[in-house]
Amino acid sequence: MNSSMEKLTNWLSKFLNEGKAENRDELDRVKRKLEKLKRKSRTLKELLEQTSDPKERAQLDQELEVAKAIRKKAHAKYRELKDALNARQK
Amino acid sequence: MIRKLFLPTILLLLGYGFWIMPELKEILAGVAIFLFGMLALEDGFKAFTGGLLERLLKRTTNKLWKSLTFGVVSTTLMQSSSLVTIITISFLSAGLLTLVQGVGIIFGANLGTTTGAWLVAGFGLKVNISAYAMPLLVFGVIFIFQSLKALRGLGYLLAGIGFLFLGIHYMKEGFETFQDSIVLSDYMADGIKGLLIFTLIGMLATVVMQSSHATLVLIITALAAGQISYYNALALAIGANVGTTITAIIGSMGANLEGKRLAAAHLVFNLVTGVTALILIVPLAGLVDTLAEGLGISETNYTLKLSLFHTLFNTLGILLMLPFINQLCRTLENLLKPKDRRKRNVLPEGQVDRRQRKVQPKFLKKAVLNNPDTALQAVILESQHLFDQSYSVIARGLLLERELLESDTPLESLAEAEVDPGSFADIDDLYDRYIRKVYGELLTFAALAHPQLNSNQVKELFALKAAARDLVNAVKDTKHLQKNMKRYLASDDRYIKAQYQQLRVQLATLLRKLFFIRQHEQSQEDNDAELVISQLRLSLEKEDIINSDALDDLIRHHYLAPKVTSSLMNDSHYCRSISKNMVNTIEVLMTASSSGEGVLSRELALAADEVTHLTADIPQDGEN
Repeated sequence: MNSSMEKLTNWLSKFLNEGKAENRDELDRVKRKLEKLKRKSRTLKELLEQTSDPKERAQLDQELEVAKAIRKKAHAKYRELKDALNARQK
Repeated sequence: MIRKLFLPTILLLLGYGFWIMPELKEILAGVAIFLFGMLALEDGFKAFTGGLLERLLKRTTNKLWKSLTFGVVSTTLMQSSSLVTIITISFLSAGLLTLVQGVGIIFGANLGTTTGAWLVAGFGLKVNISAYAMPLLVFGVIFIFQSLKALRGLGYLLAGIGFLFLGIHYMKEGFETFQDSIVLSDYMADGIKGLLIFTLIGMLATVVMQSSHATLVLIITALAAGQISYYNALALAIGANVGTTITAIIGSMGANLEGKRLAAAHLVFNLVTGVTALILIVPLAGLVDTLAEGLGISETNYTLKLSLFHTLFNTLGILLMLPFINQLCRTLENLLKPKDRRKRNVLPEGQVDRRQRKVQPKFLKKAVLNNPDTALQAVILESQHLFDQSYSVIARGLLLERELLESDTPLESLAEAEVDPGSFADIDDLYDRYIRKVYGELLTFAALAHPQLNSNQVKELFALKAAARDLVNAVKDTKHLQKNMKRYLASDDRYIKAQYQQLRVQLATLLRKLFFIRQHEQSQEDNDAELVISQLRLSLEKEDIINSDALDDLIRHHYLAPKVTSSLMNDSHYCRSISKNMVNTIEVLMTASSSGEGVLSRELALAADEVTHLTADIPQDGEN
């Protein structure tokens, strides 16, 4: 009962603080993306170590670079959202 | 014709009624206020559904018992089975629910709606609810004027409940005044005839008001005032249950076939329940007496007993129909079949297409506009439809067979095949027949859907509109490219011919990639869109003819004349533009969701300029 009430209160406060809640949701989404990209980069690195075929290596290299570049963007987005959220809380 | 006469007849009857029985005014004003309250309540709930309802529906309707529970709970909360029915039809039309799930919700909604009778009979008639109505209306209206959508929604909810209370109050007062002048009980009929007459009245009243809830409140207040007998009230309640299906039938008129099947299922359920309740009315009334005794309801408390009867016969209906739910859905699928338009909508391969029929939009149904999630979902599905049509037109415009594109046969064989310039399709004609109508109606529908979407959903809508425009531009660029391609692919000059063959192979490679991405995307929810799209953009950058040393060599050694070179450059630009537009579109289609969460993936995917920077850092194939 208590947990249901808690959920209901959270839901209501989420709607009443629409902007803030949206930011937090977005922050969570970026965080999840970052974790996924990290896993992807790790997998690509492992594959790169295992292969000796130059064509395949070039392809994996390219994929790794792309994943890194996207991670960089995701990091920047994460920082931006976190700063915005902190500024709101102050 | 009947529809045209319906409104004037109702107005005339009401006018006549007011003239001969001025006491009717208060009762009918009560009904009107009650219905207005329901409208406000609907608006209030719609404000809270942006993305939330979709997520909720996905999680809570994957099993039949969950669908049923969802129907009961949502109708109990919203106090409107009509609203739940209309939303369910919208979701079904947008492909967010299956027919069995939808039917489960409708069955549940029928049970959920009976809670309204309990509330009115147990609370509304005993307490002076108009006292609560006033502050609710005041707070509600203040909130309605707020700019924050959530507060506005809350305002509509409060005002809605306030109007419902006020409506009940007026109906109650009206019947009390009515009692002094006319006694309806004088017209009461007994026996089977009476049952049938009152069932019919209940049905008609619900058809007119389009709310079984309003009819039931009217029945309860009339019963409480002693204007109708207990058995007449039972028959009226049965009639109201059947009459309520009209909302679903009207709602399904603008829906697709699935929506129509759901409305039919609703009708079948309520008819079966109604007929069973009529046949078993005496034993059911006996059961009500027994249960009422157990529940501590006094023998003369007919309003609560009516509520119990209402719940009981709807439960009976669910128990009767639940084992046959799959059979019912299968029968409806067999009875209500799509007209065989599918074949006509698919672009034929190889042979010159001589059919003149224009392709129509598939998902833009009026019913899905009732809800922001379903409206956006319809735009997403129609954009995918537009993508498939454009893909086919581009493939035919470049004389690329779908079978080859959708296989793993090496595309280099294209470069060796001889091409007959006469077999290229007329792109203007294809555009007119396969794209124009879908594109135009998609934009119109998007404009209609826009006002009810939340900020994230609006971003998705803009992205989808831009994607549709990109697709059309890709088709138009194909038309420009086709002009020289026809000419040079059949040319005797082997150097320029090879360059155009290369452009064609490049586009064929891209179309093949897009086909497999679309296939993969449909089978997966989490599709790594930002990675896939960035890779595609990187490949395009690397393939740009401007970066080709071989072309420079040909020009330097005068194998390509200046005039031909400029044509090649222009056409390579068209080729790039087609590729970019197609990639932009697939990016949106891979990430778009009716909850508006795809924006992040698109923000993270590398844009063309970012990819250019990256190509400078990455070693070219074979360099490392």
